Amino acid sequence: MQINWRKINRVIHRDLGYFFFGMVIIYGLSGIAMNHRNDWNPNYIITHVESPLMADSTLLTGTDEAFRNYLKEQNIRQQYKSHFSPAPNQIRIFLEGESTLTLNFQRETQVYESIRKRPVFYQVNLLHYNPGTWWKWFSDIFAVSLILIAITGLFILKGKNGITRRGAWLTIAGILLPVLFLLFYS
Amino acid sequence: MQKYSLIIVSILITFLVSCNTPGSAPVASNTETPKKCCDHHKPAEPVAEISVDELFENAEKYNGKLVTVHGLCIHTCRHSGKRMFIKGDHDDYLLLISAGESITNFEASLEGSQISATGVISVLRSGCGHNHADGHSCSAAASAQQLEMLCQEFKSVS
Repeated sequence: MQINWRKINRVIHRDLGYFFFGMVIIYGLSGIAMNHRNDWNPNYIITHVESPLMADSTLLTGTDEAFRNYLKEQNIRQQYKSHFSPAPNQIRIFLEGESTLTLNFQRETQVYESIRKRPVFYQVNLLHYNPGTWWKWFSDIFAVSLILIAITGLFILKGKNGITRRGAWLTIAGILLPVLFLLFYS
Repeated sequence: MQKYSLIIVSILITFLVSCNTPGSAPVASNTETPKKCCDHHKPAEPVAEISVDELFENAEKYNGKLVTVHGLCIHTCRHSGKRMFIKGDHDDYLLLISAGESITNFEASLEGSQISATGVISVLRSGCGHNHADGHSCSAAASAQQLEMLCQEFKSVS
């Protein structure tokens, strides 16, 4: 029996492509998010609201009860969790629901910070940052498969658009570009 | 064509299952009992339970040791989720906790909660890291020790 290598090549390329479609999207999206992590926070939507501080400095040494009363006065309905002093003349109050209220007695301001998970990006980043051993092995298989998809992709077509003609030039260009970047940055 | 597809799917499944099967790793020829694949996720023996303050006051004693440390989580890394800080009563005592392989991430909701974390301690920096020949002195914060824990497991206790 003669082995049809082109057929095997096509099947490998097609089926790995189908199977890892989701993984390519996950790593593609989180890759964009990571590239721009200095410009935005892909995991959380963080908002700050600054307002004048309506408390005197006795609250710097206040009890848990004093902070609960202050939150009530400020019409903040989230439950008090705990507090600490991040710097002299400052108190940060942690609230239930991933929020904080930071009191600055020097500048006489308070900043309410709320955090919520950014849909889709939080989840894809969690996976990108390797959440556990099983995922590590699965993403290793994905990485090897991605190499296979790339190699088999070279030999899908014959003729003028195949690897011996048009395909060769595009492949060379695609390899040269990262090499040029490497030379430029090193 | 269908035959080839089945072969590919079978290879993928076999590879995935064989990667993490207990006992698949080669066993050394000595009499040691082979460890199960997940043994490294749990502490092998009872570990000392201490506060952040006690850890900082006896940093050298706990350097390289597996301990459980209690403290208030004041910050989690909002980019990777792989780091957090817990503090004790003393404002300068901040322990950096890095997630070990078995930990998915430290969620922002941990901030403000009392945390109990178990892992191995390492001293990152002791003293301010330079000599004082030029006559200046460092502030208490700058001269504070920096300690890190590679965390194996943690829980919120409040």
